[in-house]
Amino acid sequence: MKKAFVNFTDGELLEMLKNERVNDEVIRFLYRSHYSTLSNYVKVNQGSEQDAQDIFQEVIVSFIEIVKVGKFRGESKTGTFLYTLNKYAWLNELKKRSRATAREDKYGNEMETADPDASIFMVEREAKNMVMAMMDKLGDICKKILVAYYYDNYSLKEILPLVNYENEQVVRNKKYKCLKNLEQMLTADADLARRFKNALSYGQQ
Amino acid sequence: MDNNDAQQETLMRYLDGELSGEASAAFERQLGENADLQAELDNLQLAKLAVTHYGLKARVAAVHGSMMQELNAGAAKTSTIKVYPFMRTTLKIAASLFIAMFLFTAYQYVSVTPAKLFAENYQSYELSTARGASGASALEADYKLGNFAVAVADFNKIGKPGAKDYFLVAQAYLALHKPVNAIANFDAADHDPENGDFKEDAEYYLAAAYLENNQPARAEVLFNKIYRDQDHLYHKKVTFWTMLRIKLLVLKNGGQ
Repeated sequence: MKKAFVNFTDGELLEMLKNERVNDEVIRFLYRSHYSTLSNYVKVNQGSEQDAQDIFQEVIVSFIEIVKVGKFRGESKTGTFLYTLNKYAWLNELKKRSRATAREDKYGNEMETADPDASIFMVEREAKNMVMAMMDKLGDICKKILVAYYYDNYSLKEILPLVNYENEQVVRNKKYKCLKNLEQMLTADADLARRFKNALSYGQQ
Repeated sequence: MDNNDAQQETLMRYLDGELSGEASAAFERQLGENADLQAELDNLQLAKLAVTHYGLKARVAAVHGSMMQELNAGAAKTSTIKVYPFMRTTLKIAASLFIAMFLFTAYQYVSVTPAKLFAENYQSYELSTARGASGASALEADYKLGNFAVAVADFNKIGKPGAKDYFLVAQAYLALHKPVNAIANFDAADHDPENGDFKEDAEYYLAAAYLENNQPARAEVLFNKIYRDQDHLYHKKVTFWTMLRIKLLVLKNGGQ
C-alpha cells in the first residue's frame, strides 16, 4: 500500500514547530521538502554526502529553535530561509576546515557576502558541540531522565519504568543531581557557557 | 532537610514550573535579593536549555536515519524511472524492428519460389548487332527472329558447334523452358576455350537456368560470384535482396 505523506503550509509548519515537543512528522516533512536542494548545495561546493547530511541535521535543529524563540515568523518562505541557513552553515564549516589545514582562507569573502541575518543564527557551532559532549559525559541514565523530563515532557511517574527506580522521589533526586552536574560542568568554563547561551538565544536579548 | 536543601528544592521546583502563584512570587523576591541564587538559577536554566537542545538533536538524528532510507529508496526509484522510459522505448523500437524483420523474412520465405525468382531475373537474351552481323548462321538468324524451336533444329545440324552455338542453343532452350538442356549447353559453352565473348553472359543465364530447374544452391554459387564481382557484366542485376531470397530458397529447398 502506498504511504500517505503529511503536507504542511508554511503557516501550519511554524505553528507545529512552536509546540514544546516537535512532532516527528514535521521533521519528516522538512526532510522530504528540502533535503534534496540543501544537500545538493553542499555536494556541489566540495562537500561529501556525509557533510550534506550533517549540515542538514544542524540546519533543521537550528531552524526549529529559531522558530521556537520567535526569530522567524514566516517573513520569507521556509525554503528560502532554510537554504540561507544551510549555505551559511556549510561556508562556516569550509572556513573552519581551511583554517585547520592552514590553507588560504578562500571562503572568507563568500562568508561576508552570505546573508548577515542568517549568520546570527548559525554562530558558535563549536560551543554547541562542546556542550553536547558534556551531555554525553553525564552518562546514559542522566541523559535518559533529563531528556525525558525536559524535552519529552514526561512526568516523573512516566520516567519511572524507563530507569527502574523505586519511586518518583528517587527519580526527582536523580534528575536534580544530573542537572546540577551539567550546570557545574558549564560553569567550570564560563566562556563556553556564555558562547553556548549566545548560540541558543539566536540573537534574542 | 536543612535550609540549603530546602532552597535547592524550591529552586528546582521554580525551574520546573511547579511553584504556584504566591510561592512563585515569594521565590522571585528571594531571587531579587540573592545574586548567587539568581546566578545559580541562570546556570540551571542554561543546563536545561542544553538538555532540550540535546533532546531535539537526538530526535532529529533519530528521524534522520529513517528519512535517509526513504529518500535514498526514492532516489534509486527515480533513477530507475529515468532509465526505464529510455530503455523501454529503445527495446520497443528494437522489438518492433525485430518483429518487422521476422515477418518480412517469413513472408519472403513462404512466398519465394524458383519459378518466381527465375521470372524476376530472366530476360531473353538479345543478340547484339555486332555479334550477329554479316555472315550470321541459320542458328543466329532464327534465334534473332525468336524462332527458338527452329534454332534448336539449326543447332542439331551443326557438325562441330562452337562456344557461340552452344550459348545460343542454351538460350533457345531456356526460352523454351527446357532448363536441363539449357544447363547442359551453357555448361558446354562455359568449358569451350573460345568462350571469351559469352563467358559472363553464360554465367548469369546458367544461374537463371539452375533456378528454373529448382537447383537454387547451384544458382547461389554463380549469383554470389556475380554479386561480389563489381566489374561483372551482370553485377547490377544481382542485388542484396536477390541474394537474400536465393538463400531463403536454398534453405527452403533443404540446402539443395
